[in-house]
Amino acid sequence: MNPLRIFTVIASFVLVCLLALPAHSDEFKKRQKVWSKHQETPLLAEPKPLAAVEQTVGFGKKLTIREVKGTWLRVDSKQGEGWVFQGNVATEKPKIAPDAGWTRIDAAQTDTVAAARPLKPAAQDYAQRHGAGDAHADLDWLDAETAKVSMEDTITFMSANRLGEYQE
Amino acid sequence: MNRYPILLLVLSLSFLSPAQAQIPDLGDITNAFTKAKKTSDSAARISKGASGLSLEEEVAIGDAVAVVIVVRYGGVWRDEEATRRINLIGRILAQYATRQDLEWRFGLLDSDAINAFSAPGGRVFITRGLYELPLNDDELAGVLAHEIIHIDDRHAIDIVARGELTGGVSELMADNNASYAQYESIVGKAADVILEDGFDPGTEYEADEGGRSLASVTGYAPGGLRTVLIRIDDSTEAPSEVFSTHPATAARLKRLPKDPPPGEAGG
Repeated sequence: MNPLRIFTVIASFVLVCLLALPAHSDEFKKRQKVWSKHQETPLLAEPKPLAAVEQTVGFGKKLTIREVKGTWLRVDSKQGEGWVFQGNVATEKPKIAPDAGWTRIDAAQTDTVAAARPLKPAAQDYAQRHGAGDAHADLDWLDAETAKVSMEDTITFMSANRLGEYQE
Repeated sequence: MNRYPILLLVLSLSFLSPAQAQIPDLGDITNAFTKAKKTSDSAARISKGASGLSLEEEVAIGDAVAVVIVVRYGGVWRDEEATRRINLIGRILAQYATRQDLEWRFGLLDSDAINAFSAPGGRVFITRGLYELPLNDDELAGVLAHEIIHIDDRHAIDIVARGELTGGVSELMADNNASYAQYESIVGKAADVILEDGFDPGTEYEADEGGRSLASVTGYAPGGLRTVLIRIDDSTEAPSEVFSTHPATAARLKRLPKDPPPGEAGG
């Protein structure tokens, strides 16, 4: 067999194997396809956490990377282009959409007075039927403590520790 | 490099696939009708989520599983500072999970055991024994990210849903006086998976890998979980329980990339 042909077949096989690997790489590249993770994924005017929102794309929308700048990606979508933090996209198309029926506490409402969601009534009854009143009380305490951590606290922590969109 | 040989190879490999189109038996109307009904039922399930459960139902199951976890592991460790810390780190990680419909909560269990658990619907727990190893932020993020992936990928709830026992939960959500037998059964099964049987090794390795990526993309050192596992593996002390519901630490370490410890990585 022609050595060039053998080389081509082996190289092709290696490439096919590489393409078949799960896309869990942390590296993003120009022209790579990625998918939006959130119901409303913002595409920003600049690669900064507080930049203006150019447009938002829905869950599981295909985006094409045009530029990589640190942890930020400039992407094209059907709606237009913009910058997105790499944590807000997936390298594989997400299979399960978030449940649209759930009322999530809006970020603007998540301040220090946000109320804790108690255990679901069915779980409260479960605790009562199993004599787990102490565990119920523990979870109530935990939910109250959790509610004390506001979105503002989270952003301050991210900014101070250079996390998420605040990475350098 | 000429790309056509690659394309031809890919196409030829695809033709080698054993999948072949099935020709339906058009004469069997009964089968066709049954099939159509099954398809319709499947569509209804998909509209409620891949597990066949709505989020409300998943959270109701997860809340009861959390009760079981708290009972089994000594109650909640009521340390305000530590609880605040794991909620800050946990919530930041969860921002980059796929499921943004969950209210993520992170708690500590008052147990000397070294273990971590996740209940469907967004509740994550780690034991005081694990927290007090102690763990720096990168290590804590590595542990929490692993548990977040279990919830994000619906590992426990999918196992429960495969048992086809979920019909009663909807009734329960609609009518609180309905029979609890089915709900109890589902909660019991989920608790068994999480607290007794554990997930299969493949699912755990998937959570290790996904958690590492999640921690890394959030800005934590990717080697956080690996460092925790190494410390536990090297420890000469023998606590009552070390990740008993997870695969052997050595097997997990073998599969994780050899990331440097967080300090050395500059994280």
